[in-house]
Amino acid sequence: MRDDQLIERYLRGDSEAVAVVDEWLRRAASSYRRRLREHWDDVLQDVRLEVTRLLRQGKFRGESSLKTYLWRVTGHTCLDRLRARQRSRVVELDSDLTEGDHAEEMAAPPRGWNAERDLLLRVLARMDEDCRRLWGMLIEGRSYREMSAETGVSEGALRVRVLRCRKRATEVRDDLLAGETTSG
Amino acid sequence: MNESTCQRTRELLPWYLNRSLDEAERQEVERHLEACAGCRAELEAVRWSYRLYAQHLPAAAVLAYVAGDDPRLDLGGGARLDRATADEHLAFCDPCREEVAMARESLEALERESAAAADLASADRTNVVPFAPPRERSAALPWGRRLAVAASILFAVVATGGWLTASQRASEHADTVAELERRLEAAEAAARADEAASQPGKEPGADVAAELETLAAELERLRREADQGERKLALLEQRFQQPSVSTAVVPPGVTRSGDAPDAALVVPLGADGATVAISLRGVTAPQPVRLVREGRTVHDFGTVEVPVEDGLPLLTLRLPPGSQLGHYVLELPEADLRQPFQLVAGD
Repeated sequence: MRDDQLIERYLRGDSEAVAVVDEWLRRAASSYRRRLREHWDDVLQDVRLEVTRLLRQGKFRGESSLKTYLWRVTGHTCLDRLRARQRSRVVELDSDLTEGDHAEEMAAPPRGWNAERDLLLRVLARMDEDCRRLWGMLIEGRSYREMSAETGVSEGALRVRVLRCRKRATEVRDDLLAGETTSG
Repeated sequence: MNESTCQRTRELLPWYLNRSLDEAERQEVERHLEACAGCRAELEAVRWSYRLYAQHLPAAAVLAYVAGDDPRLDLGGGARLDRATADEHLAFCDPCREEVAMARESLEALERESAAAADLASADRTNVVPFAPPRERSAALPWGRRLAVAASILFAVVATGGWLTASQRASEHADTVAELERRLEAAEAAARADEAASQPGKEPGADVAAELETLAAELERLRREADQGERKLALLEQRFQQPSVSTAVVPPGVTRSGDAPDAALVVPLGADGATVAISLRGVTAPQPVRLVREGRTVHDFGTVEVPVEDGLPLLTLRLPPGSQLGHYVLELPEADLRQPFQLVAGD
């Protein structure tokens, strides 16, 4: 059955087409199940709803096979769920600190994706592991007392290290921007 | 503004933003921020640092990274990310690496879908499914993977069919050869009798000689075929005696993920562990058995009896509670057997 025929029959509710698409969705989602086990039925339902919505809106343009397209939709939905779950574990920070990292839309640039985001990834890759670990603990909402106990570093020294990591990140960013200006 | 107060405030800002300061510290920071423009600017820099350290690859980048090898990952809507930047990030970010692994596994599961559907249909009926021969893990394309599966199935069919055919034909040939030899002897005896009778007007034994010639030629052809069949039979028997995994015996409630040799078993991994049952060929004596994961032995079962069930040695391994999902290699060092399989949660 051709993809366009399958879509047409799926949207009509044809049981054979629904079974085919549903099997693809289940398979594509299966690898995420271990991490989303608690809400698995909801996740699958989200995937089905998203697929139906996108197909109804004619978002599938045949640039890849339908199967590959459904794999992407399923991946997006499951990854968004996973990331939302991780976010909920992180202490509620000021709303703009991490917003825009996760919620993404099919067939559109990820929200907040821009040159700055690209730059952030490159800066982050140049930071040392210690800085990433300390700031990761901050993102998780740890107090400096907890961090001190966990790392075995005195509270005062820890606060200074975190500050140095922040300054170092700014230097790296400025270096990268200067390099781009020079090469550009 | 007191410089030491600024320094202390700046040191506390990361924890001010993650709301873990105690009430007295929070009020101290807020009072200072109201009065100090420099520290308010620093607060913005700390916000930027939070955004920096919270960075992960966008989901679209994870999927594009897995889906192809384009050096510029297409994120949709014209946005792109250098694959090199993604590689840099993946080098240190465990959560993103895990997401890439899940997306890759998902894609592979979908690629196997067609072949697996056919396999599952027969597995549901028999509960015993073919177990693909060991193969190096590779990033094969879907069709390459399917061809490999087809080849292994074809080999099994040809080998089994060939063995049966060769065996049957060798037996038939033996009977035919014996019958021809009897007929040849009878013809020779008749020829001798003809010669003795020496009928006038007819060349002695002419008909019988012609038949003898035909029979001898046919006998020779059949002997050659029989030799070939026996050689083929010996070869197949030798091949069957080499240690190998023949089938995965799937216990009730266990499904099988399809054709990839490293994803051959989907086993429910409950709180009490999991059971993997694998049929073997050419292995009868007690064997040292161990499970290897990422090059490290994770379960050493010691020397294990291999009981024979339905004519096949059946190795049943009980993985202890706490066993991790993932790729394992079953090693029987004395039998020179390494069989990869994947342990994932079943329904």
